[in-house]
Amino acid sequence: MPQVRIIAKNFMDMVAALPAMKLDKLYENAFICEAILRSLPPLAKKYVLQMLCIEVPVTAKSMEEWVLPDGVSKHRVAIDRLIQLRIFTETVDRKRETTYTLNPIFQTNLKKLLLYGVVLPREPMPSNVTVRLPSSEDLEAFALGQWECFLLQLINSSQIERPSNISSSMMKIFQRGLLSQRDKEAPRLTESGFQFLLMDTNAQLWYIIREYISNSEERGVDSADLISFLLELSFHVTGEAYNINTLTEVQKNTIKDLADLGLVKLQQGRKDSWFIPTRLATNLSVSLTDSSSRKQGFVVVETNFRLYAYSTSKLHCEILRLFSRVEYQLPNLIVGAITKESLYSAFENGITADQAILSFSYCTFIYFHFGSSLSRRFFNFQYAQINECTFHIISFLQQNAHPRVAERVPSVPENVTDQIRLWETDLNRVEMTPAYHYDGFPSRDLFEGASDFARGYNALLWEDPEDSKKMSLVVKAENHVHMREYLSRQRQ
Amino acid sequence: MSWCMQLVKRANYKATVRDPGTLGVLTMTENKFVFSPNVHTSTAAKPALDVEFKQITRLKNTKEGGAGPALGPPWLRLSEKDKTYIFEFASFRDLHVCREFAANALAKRGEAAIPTRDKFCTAEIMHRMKLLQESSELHKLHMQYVMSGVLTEAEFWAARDKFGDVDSRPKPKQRVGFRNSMIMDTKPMTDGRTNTVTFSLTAEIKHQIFALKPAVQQAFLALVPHKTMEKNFWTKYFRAEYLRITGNAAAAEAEAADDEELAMFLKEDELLAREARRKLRRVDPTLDMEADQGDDYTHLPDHGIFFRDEVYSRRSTLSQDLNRQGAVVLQGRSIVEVDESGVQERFGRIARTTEMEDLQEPHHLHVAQLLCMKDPGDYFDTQQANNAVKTEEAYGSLRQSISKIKSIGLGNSTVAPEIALTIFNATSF
Amino acid sequence: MASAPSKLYADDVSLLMVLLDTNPFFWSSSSLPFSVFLSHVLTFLNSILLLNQLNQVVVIATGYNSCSYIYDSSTSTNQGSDNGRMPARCVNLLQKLEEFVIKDEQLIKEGLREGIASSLLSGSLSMALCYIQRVFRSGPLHPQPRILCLQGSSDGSEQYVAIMNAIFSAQRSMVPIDSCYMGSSNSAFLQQASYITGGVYLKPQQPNGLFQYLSTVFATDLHSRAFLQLPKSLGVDFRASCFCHKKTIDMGYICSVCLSIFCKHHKKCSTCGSVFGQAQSDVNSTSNKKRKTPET
Repeated sequence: MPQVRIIAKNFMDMVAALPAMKLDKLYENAFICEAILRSLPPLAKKYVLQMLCIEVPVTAKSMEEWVLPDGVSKHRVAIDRLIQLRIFTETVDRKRETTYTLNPIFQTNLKKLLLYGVVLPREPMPSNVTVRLPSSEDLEAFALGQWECFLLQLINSSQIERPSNISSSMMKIFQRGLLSQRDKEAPRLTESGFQFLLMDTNAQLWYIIREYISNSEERGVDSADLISFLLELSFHVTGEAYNINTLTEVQKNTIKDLADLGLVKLQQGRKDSWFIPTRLATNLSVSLTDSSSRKQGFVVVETNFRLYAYSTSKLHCEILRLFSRVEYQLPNLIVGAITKESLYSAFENGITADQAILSFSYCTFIYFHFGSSLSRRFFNFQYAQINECTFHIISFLQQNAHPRVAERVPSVPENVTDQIRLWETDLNRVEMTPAYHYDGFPSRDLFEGASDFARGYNALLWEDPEDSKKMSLVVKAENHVHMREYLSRQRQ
Repeated sequence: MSWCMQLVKRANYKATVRDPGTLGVLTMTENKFVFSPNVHTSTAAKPALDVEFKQITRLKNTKEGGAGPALGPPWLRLSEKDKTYIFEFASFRDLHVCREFAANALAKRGEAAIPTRDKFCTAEIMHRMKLLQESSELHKLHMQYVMSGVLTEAEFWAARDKFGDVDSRPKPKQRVGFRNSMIMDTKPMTDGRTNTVTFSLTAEIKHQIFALKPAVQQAFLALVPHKTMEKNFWTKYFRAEYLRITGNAAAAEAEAADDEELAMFLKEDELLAREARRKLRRVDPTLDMEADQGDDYTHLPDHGIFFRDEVYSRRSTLSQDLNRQGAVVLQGRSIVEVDESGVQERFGRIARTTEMEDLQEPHHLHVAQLLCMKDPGDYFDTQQANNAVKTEEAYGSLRQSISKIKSIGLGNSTVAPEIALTIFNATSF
Repeated sequence: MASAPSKLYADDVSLLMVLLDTNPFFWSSSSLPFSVFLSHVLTFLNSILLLNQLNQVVVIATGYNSCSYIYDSSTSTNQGSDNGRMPARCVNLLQKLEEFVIKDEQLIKEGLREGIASSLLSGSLSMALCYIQRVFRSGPLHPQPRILCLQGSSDGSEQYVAIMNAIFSAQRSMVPIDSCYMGSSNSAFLQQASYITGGVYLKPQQPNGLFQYLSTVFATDLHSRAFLQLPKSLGVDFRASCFCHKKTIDMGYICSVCLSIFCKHHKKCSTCGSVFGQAQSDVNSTSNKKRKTPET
């Protein structure tokens, strides 16, 4: 099934991709150890914890003894992740027994955290210096405002009032993958761009930060340093002021970019200047949404497919426009309707995006011509996929439900969600299987033998009806090797 | 007074503090106390004591509460001019009873003593007759030796005492009950003409007050006769009661400010409050649906149990009074006392007619050990011995541990790597 | 395509209710000093909170005379900066614990519960379940609750009915009760509690390695338990206490209507009032009484 998650929920994959030297250096910082521990799958967390006091290698066998048959794959994933992040070191000794050791630096740092607690990375500035700190509401509003402004700019909306300071080259990098521009057409949202907009703020943030980091080397910034700084930032206290002079030159440049994204607010005092982390920054180390950080909902969906969004945000309007027909737009209210057409255009967005991004490997048909002549013909199969648009649209509506309807279960009327799913399945009537097409058999015996052979593997998809003279059959691509062997044996 | 009180308690008599003591029976009457040792051995025999209260000048006893088990059993010390008598008792309850009795007797010592020797003897003879009637075997022996002149009457009874460690006067196991009448509010009588209020006080009422209000009893033991005379004590008590009944709070407060003894009576009964809290902790959570059937207390203002302190700071409510009265009546009297010798005889008769096992003293204590059910605690309370540890010590060490962590931190919580590995391997089968 | 909003809450977010036995009589006789025990437990609590930002820990002290909440990670802000010697939350917890012990000691002056060295486990279990109910009712987004009994003192047979009621309500609300028993012999109550609710009962063989036991076995969140084989206790002591005298019995009479347990024959069930008929002879009464046989 071509289910590709373009957008990673966190950037631990990036951390894992760092070279060993840099990883070891990262683990010297206790905050990073904490953040990385929290990002691990549940089983991996448990494995780290139980190894905390053990300093000798532990055999893989003794760990597998715990695993139930149902959990083998989870266990594998956990162990792989730990090895990938170099938290576990795998060694195979002479008796061919696999053992694991916990990274000693990681171990020591975690132990310190448990026994002595956290020492904050830097002390907040005294309140007599920073007299006019914003209230937590102001800070929250600032962060969201910055973020929304950034997003509007990202999708090239015409609604931008004041462009942020992010350079257009940087913006281009962020737009990579989210927008597609074919020759001379206006840029269109790709499917991932579509999904991106419907995601909650935290996940969006991760995506952007990930792009920001992957691009860092081009700007001459070490990605490990950047990761370490971002994680460190997430352990600062929201709303406290921290002196900018405690930062390195590189970090000072970074913090300016972060201010544009709304992660920190910069303020200038008489002598010093300081940065104030917002909730966006402190949530960085949380890999998943915190319920408390969720914004208040604003959408009411009625059973007649009408949609009311109490919002002044231009971004919200843009998002709603993606899958519904906006009918009126009042200063604080957007009224729309979910229609089949509006949804189809949304799905279409997704589909075009898929065609653009996915390689052709899934929909390549190779015709294997038996005999001398090799002819290729393309069946024009309509390509379809189980797309995630529906999921994202429905969960967007549910997560942003107006408080009045949020208490109800379900918050979006069932007939609406069901209908959205039905419309989607309307588009997905065809199932696709990679396959090989065989024809030109020299004899009916060989053809029938091949057909039976394929049936034995449960791989026969289609064969010519009995009376037809064409003698062709279609077999699953994964069984092509067997088929080839069988046929060459028959030939001799 | 037409009756004579007599109190019999088992005690250990010591002439001095060092003396190991002699086990025996202490009998107190209004005028004197008699101690008869259990076993008359020729060498160690101490002559039976027979001292009149008139001679006694001082009275001392161990205080409850402060003394732990380390200080030994509770004792009562009666001092003459040049001699002291120390009696150790098995329990504080015995001590209090005796102490109260002695205090009463001392308070009355000014009054003319009524010779009671005859009565004592009559009682003794009655008791012996009863014993003979109860046990046909004993009766046979009595016929055999005394009637035939082999032994004298006194020798026979002395020999019998050797058989079993029984009281010379058996305590009936069933305790004397209280009349089920409310005396919580002892009603005063006014004659209408003068401005005086009269409370009538009998020994019966006194005991009932003690039983109902343990705090009053404590106060009585503490104050009478050193600090105040008995008459004075009771006057104060009823004065407090009167103020309470009339609901004259202002007057009560004013008087309490002047007189601390009076204030004591007006205070809440801390002993009862404590008892109630303790009971509340042991409320049986088992549901008794049948008992609750048809019960509807919701219309009552305080149907629920709320043992907040405010309840105690107020005067106890009528329902609490009723409950307390009920509890005391059910509990029975904690004091074995004989008002009249006639009562004793009646008990004898009752004991004979109702041969119920659980109401009888075991006849053959020395023959076989009683078979007991195994203590259920053995299943559970394997650490019973811990109770020996003093509570202060135990709590003290707990607090010390906490402050230890506060000072040194969690440093000693790391597990040695070898131990950790063995545990890890052991837990994974 | 799961669209339930609770999916947003990671599977391994846990609410751990820790019932801490502070029975002074047990700890003054225990081979493992209370200070060592407590520091292992505190380290364990720190590690639970380290695993996930949304994890929540509540500590209830199971005292000799009373029980009390002494720590709740959701209410105590960890703002107080750590003094470098120990995390700030531990300082708060120790402070509360000390206050609790002093209060518990004051209550003891009102009279010892004669001959009983057990702690008020029934009380703290009930408090934990009440807290969990509140969490359940707070909305669809809540952490997965579980209870961990760190018990040392012996079972109080007089609490049998109350504890069993607590166990059954935990079972009903699918809250597992884990027990780590530090006493010398096994605890029948906790064995039953863990068995019935699907928790883990463990008696550490090496008490000085307590943290290792806690982190290896009891730190496992409910989500991961579906994939792991946690230690199983070999046998469970299923003995019950009778309702009439609170004695531990392995054979007794059971009311056929409400299943109350009695150590001897009664004419009538004291719980539901069912009349058991006349018990003139054994033959007659066998129809009314049933033997409770030990289950294993």
